[in-house]
Amino acid sequence: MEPLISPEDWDEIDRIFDAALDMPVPERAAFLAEACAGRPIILRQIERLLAASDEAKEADFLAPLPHQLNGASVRHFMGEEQLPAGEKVGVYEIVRPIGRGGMGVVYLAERSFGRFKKPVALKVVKRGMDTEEIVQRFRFERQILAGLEHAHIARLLDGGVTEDGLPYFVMEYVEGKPIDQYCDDRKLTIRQRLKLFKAVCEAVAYAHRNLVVHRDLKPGNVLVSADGEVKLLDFGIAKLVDPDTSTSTVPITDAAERRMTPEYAAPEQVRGEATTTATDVYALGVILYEMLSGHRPYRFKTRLLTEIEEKICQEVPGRPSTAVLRAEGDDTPDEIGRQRSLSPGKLRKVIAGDLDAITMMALKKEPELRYASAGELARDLGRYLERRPVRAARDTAAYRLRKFVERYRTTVMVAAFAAFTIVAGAGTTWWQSYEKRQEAQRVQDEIRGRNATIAFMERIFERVDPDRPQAYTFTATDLIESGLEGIESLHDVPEIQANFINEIGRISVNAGQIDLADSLHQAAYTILVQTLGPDHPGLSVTLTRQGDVYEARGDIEQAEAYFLRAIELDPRNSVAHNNLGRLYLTIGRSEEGGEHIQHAIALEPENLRYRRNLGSYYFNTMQWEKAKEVYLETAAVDSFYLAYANLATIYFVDKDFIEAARWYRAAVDLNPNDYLIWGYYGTALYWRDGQSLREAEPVLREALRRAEERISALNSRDPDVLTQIASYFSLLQDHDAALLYVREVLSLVPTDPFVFYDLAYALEMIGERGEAIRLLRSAMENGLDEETPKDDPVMKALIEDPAWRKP
Amino acid sequence: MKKENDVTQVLIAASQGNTRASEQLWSIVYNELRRIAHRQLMGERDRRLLSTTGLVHEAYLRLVDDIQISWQDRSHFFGIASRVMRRVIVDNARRHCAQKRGGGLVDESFDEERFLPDDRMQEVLDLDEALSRLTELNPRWSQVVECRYFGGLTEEETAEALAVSVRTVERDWVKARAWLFSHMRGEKQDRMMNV
Repeated sequence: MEPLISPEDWDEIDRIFDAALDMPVPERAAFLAEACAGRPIILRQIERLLAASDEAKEADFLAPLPHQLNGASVRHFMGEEQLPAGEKVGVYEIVRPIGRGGMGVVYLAERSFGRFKKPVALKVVKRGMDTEEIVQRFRFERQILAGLEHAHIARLLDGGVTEDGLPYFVMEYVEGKPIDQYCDDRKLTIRQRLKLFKAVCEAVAYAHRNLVVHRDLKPGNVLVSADGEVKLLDFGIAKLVDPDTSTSTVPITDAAERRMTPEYAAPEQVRGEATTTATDVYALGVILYEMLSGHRPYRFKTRLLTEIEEKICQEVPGRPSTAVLRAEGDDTPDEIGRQRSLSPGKLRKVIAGDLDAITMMALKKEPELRYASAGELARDLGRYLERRPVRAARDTAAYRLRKFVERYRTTVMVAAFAAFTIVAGAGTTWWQSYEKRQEAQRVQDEIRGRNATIAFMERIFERVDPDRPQAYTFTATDLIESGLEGIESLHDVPEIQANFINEIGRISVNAGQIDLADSLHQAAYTILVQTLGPDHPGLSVTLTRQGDVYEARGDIEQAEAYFLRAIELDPRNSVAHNNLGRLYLTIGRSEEGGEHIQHAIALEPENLRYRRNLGSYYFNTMQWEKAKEVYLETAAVDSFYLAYANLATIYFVDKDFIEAARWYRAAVDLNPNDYLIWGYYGTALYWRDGQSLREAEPVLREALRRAEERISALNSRDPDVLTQIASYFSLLQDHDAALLYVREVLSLVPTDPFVFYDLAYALEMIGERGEAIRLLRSAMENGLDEETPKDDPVMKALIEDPAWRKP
Repeated sequence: MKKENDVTQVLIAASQGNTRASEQLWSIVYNELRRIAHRQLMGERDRRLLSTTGLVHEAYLRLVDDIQISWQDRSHFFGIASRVMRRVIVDNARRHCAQKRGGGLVDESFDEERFLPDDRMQEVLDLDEALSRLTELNPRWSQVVECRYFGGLTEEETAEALAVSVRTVERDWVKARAWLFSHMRGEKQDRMMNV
């Protein structure tokens, strides 16, 4: 147990202990006796500490932890060892540092030849690393590089040891930019990039032929000079390989094995396995991926090894063509396209296919599945540049599917047009004959179809390892891609194949890949026309999907034509009825919309989406009671913010402000982004609380904030939004602000009676009755129903004002 | 480059007394050290143990663009790094002792590498406990031990980090070591008697 000692005592102990330590041992006892007179506890403490001090020293207590580099001063580690300009290293004179790597500092230096000065890159190994291993590695690097004579590989010129005992070596000085930056700065096209990259591959191939593997290829090590010459730097961790077994013949230090850049590291590097020429092929694949798509195959959220290892060794990266549409910080699809002088869509198309295949082959997890060497990769790029079939694509299912879609594209167009002109009749015969087939044959067909489906599903999900659910998230894009890869396997069961193509198409629409969806539906349609004939009810689903695609593109007329044709072929297609009805509702053809939606509900009464659309139909046609009934019914099973908002509005019109506020609240809880709903909500609260701002104020302020956000998002002073802002200010009794916005809207010369009406309302709320009356009159002159103001207590006051009668 | 500058900004703010920046710096350094430890240990298994000094300095070189910062900021980094190192080393030792006794959960993300030979592990754990006690009595003594023992800093570096003279560091080290020795021995005896 420690005796109780106060902080003041501790200061005292510290002081006396300090003094005693300075004294020769024989004098200590007398000193302590005097200094601690009358304080036995302090005396005992100090005696104990003095004894412990000697014992601790004796026992080497708190000896440095193993492998510490104690005694070395800060300077060694802090980069203070950086050589100053003018310092001589051998025959070279330091100009300035140009880079710092894991191994040390690289300087620009000069060698004088009489009046001429030749620039060189001088690399000095940093202190603390100058172990025998590294010295050996440097010697090794010098030997290899001296043997490599290639126009695109920076040459090793010299090497030695500095006066301080640090190894250094001297390389050809290359003035250039990293290859990715060079390409982006000059906005090189894909073909220009490929030509440049092919030169890199050829240089690496040359090194490979000389049994040298780079092992740290990355854009920073691949420079391009101003005149477009490629130079490979830093064969610092290269190793000789045995051409027969591709295993190491020269011992490489552990330190070198571990020195890698995670973004460009191959799975075998991450796992610490043997690195071969295939390791360089992988790194080249990453560089190519980046040069094409502007993104790296993997994004690491952390720098934790576990994450890096998991991603690199297990996750299959998305294709470069899909990566193009990814946005990471400043690297938006538009920006990436701009750097390649193409639109993002165009860029995606250029990369999709052969270039995807080449990149993905270089990035295979298994070294033996990649290109055997950088030379192979260069040759395949050559084939692509000469527009010949590439090797990488030959065997992949996706390649065949793309060819398949391409092959059918023209027929598809013709077929789609023909389908609308050919009279129904002929197609149904196949269906009938199918019905009449032998029972045994049908069973057999079903089994075949089921087996093919199972095999296909297995293919899709084989990328997901069930043992590691957390390691891999399967995105829509993954699903689309792996679906496309497997779809050809369903060749023998065309109907099922077409259905799956349709499904992939539907997912593509949701994933925003409209063009892809379009070509998929066309392919599915062609397959079905060939199997079923041009007028078979089985075509109806595909036609509906195509209608969706056109609707998503905003081509209303085409969408309508597809939906109508789908209904014509199969009048029981409820999706087609519903989608057509919804389309009519959005373009204001409410009555027709209502009919189709009622039809869809008759076919499938339980479908909530259809019922909600019915609610919208009633709402649009102001059949409040019916709308309320439908909305209440759907709200009980499912939450959808617009249904809530519409329901609230019905109550609002009924002046049931309690219910209105309740449902608006539910709507903003589900979707807080819509300023209008916030505004209505605030207004409902205002009336509910007897024209009090008690609860309405914060809600109206939120509406204001959202509306202003909307204005800046629209990037224009939209009169509708400004009108709402004016009315919010009027409710908040901010007279000047409301008036300001009213004036702004009026300056935009609206002719919309509802805008005038709302402005009149706002003016009345802030006590500007004269102005309000004038604007209400404008509203009526522009077509407002004379009955409208009578329903509203605020506006009713205007028409009851004596001034209303007198113009 | 951007990342490094960010860290530099945090470091400067931290050395000017910004608490949130200090916390942020702590977690940055901690993660970085763990990452470096991982990388250093990869493939090494038991053949070599970790060099704590190497860790501290490597973390510094990676995180900080040292052209931008003053000497004082740099010192501050070492002070924090030493504290982080204490945590890293003690956590590691604790896990291994728990593992050896067959109990406790082992952090899977941080593999089974050990930083210390077995005979030093208990010392580290006891020291960590004793240091916490010493901090209450004399924080500077315990900081000196943290810097020198866990951070692997020299006396000069420790003096810079704590903004005291080298002479003070020398003296504090002797005194702290004496106190720790006597305290840890006493604890050990208490423990043995209790058993």
